[in-house]
Amino acid sequence: MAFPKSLQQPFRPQKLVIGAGWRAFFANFNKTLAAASSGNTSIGPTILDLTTGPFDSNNPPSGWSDLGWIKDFKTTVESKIGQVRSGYRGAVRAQYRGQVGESFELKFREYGRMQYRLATGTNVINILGASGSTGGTVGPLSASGQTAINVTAYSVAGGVAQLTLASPPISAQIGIGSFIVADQDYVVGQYGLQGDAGIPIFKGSVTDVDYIRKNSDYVSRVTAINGNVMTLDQPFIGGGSGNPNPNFNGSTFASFTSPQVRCQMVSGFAAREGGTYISEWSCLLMCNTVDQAQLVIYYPHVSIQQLRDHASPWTIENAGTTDLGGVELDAQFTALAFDDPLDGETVVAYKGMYVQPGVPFSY
Amino acid sequence: MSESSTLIPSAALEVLDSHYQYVKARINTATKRTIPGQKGVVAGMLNAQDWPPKEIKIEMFYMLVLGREPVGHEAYSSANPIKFHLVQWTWLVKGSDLQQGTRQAYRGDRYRIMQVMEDELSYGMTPNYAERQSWSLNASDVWVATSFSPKQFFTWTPVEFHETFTKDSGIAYGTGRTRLQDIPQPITA
Repeated sequence: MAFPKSLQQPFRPQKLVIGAGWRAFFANFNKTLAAASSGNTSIGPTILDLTTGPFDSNNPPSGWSDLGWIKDFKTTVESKIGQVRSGYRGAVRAQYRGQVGESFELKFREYGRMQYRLATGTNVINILGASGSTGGTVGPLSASGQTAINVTAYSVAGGVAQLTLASPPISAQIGIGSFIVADQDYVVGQYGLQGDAGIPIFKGSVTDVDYIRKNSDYVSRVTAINGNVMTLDQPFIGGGSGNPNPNFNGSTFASFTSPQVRCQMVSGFAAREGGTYISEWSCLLMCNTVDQAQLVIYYPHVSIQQLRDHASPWTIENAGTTDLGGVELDAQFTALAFDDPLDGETVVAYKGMYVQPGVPFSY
Repeated sequence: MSESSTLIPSAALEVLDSHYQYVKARINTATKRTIPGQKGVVAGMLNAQDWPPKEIKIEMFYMLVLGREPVGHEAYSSANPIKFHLVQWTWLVKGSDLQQGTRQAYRGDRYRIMQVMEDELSYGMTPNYAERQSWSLNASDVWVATSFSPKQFFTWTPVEFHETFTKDSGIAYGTGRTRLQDIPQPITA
């Protein structure tokens, strides 16, 4: 005779979800398009087509960047259920959905410019290399960097990015291993959302021709130089308001000259606490299980909820008198509304599971 | 492993055999060492009580099965007695004999071979899970695997290494321990 299930509590095979944690992928949110869309929330996000899943974490969908392993991922659902009580006993007669919302928190275990940009929620500013120059006394980020060289071509073929300059890179102190930024000149007098990164500029507030390059996401490292052609370690990513992206990735030479696209050396990046800029992204979180299932969470539109950056260091044992610490980036995001074109419902997140083929699916 | 042993189906053997075959295949694919007269660098699998075998193949891996223990109550039910199989990979390192006319420490490369073998076992264990399959011998005495439908998988814990260098014998003894998590088919009657 079969044992009573409630006494034995058997697990059914393939019904346990065992994974090694979540991995974060982010993609651009086009602020310029969204601002011009008259409140249409489905314009702006990078759309992830869930019908193309499960997704290959080694080869994410086009436009999505792998930002590495995350830990302490936690969602806080802020949607509310309202109740209608009536009658002598005040019993619940009906329920309705109230506000819709969700926030989530995570720590980036890996540290790069894009992770820093996400965690701080600010327009992270590229520190233009000023080797050999005297700097300035106007402000911490006001000085110009080394000479900017005109860009004449940018291409990505087979995942390899190449940037062609009008003169040898060494004339701007750029060598193999240098970090560089390539983007347009800021045209003094322009205001509103400027550049592919969608940086807000108040009328008359900026006079720095390097301002867009200082705020640009188009940074990379030079791995080879052949004449005026530089091979980069990664294609440019970010720049959510560019169309195409980067905006100088077009086929016409004119796109490099109006405004002029230039390249400069970068020595680091800096976030400022304060300012008016607030970052917006599309987010995909992925968890693969050993049973070949995949969990995904897709947020079409997220923005920083609270300004955080360096998390408390995780301790690394050290034989010396001081302990080494590993620095992680703490980030907290709010999921913003997305009116699903499928049925017009306002939602903030999609949470999917792709089941291993052949596994009992329904319950 | 005796290839003439009777092959009675066993949930525990599915996990042990699958782990052994998975790690063995990865190590043999990756190793840059060759042992004269041997195919690969993994010698076999045996119970820890049978260790050492009469003739130990030096600088080859053995998988010793130490026993099994239940997991904590949160994951345990009487219908699913989830357990850990305790497994210890073991090997002996003798080092290289000196060639005539050379001057260096006799068998002084033992620690280097030890590190190489630990690297090989780490690689073989990656990524700490594999498909659980049922293994049997075919008519040609070759191990063949049969997958479950749908496929099943199992995990194991990060490997822990220990080394012992015995000065009397000049032999270095290396071990790598792990625990295989076995989620058996439910016992329903």
